[in-house]
Amino acid sequence: MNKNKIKQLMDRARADECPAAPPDFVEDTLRMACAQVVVATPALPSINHQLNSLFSRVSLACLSIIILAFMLDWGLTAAGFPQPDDGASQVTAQSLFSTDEM
Amino acid sequence: MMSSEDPGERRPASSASEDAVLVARIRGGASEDFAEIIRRYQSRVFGILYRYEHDAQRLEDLAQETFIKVWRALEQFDGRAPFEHWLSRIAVRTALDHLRREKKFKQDIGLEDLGEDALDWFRTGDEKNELDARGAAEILGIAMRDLSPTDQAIITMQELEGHSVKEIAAVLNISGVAVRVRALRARSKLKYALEKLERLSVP
Repeated sequence: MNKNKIKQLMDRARADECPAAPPDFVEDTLRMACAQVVVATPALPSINHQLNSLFSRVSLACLSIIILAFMLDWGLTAAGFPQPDDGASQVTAQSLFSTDEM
Repeated sequence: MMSSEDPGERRPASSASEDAVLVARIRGGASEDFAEIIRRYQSRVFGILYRYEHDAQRLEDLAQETFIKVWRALEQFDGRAPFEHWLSRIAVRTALDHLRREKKFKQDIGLEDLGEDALDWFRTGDEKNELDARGAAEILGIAMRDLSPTDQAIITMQELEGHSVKEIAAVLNISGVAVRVRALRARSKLKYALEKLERLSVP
C-alpha cells in the first residue's frame, strides 16, 4: 500500500460525518448528572500515619505476649512446677563441682 | 447528521467568558445551567468521540459519561485553559478509557465488518477508486484495532483532527518527544495493518 493511498484514506475518513445528538440528550444527561451523589473520597492516610498505626498494633501485641508470659511463669511457680533451669543447676551442683570425686 | 467541528475553529473570547460565567453560576448551585454547557458542547463532544466509537448507542453513552465527568470535575476547573479545551481533554480521555475497556486492539483484524465499497477500494489498488467517507472511516477503524489505545488516540488526533504535538502531549500526559516517537511507530503499525487487510481482501 503506497503513501498516496493511505493519504487518500485519511482525507476521506476526516470527512466522515458524526451523527447528531438525540433530541432528549441534554435533558437526560442533566438528569443523570444531577442524580450523581458526590461522595467525598477520604484522603489516603499518610505513610507516617500508616506506620504509626501498624507499630502501635505490633507493640500492643508484644506487650500482651510479655504480660501473658509473666502470668504463666508466676502461675507455674505458684503451682510448684519445677523451673526450667532446676535440672541444670542440680547436675552442675552434683556432678561437675562435686567434691566427692576429688 | 452534522459535521464534527473543525479542530482549528476556536470559540470567540465572548463565548469563553460566557463559559466562565456559566461555570461560576453552576458552582454557586445553579445546576440547571449545566444544560447550557451540554447544549453548547454536545456536538463537539460527539465529534471527538465519534472518531473512536461509531456505534450510535455506545457513542451516546460515552457522551453522557463525558458530561458526567465534567460535572463531577467542575470544581477542579481552574480557568487557566479555555473551558472547551478542558472539556475536550476529558472527552478524549473518556474515549481512551473506553478503548482500554473494550480491548479492541486485542481483536484480530478482519474483513467481516467491511462493506463492498471498502473491499473494492482495497482490491482495485486504484487511488481514483471512489470510496465514501463512511467506508474510509470503517477501514481505518478496523485497521486501528491493531494499535494500542494510546497509539489510536495519537493517530486520530494528529491525522484526523489536526492537533499539534504539544496539544496531544497535554491531553495524553506524555512528553512531546514521546508523542513523536509513538506517532512514527503507530503510522508504521497502521500501514502494516492496512497491508494485511489488503492481502485479505484479495479473493
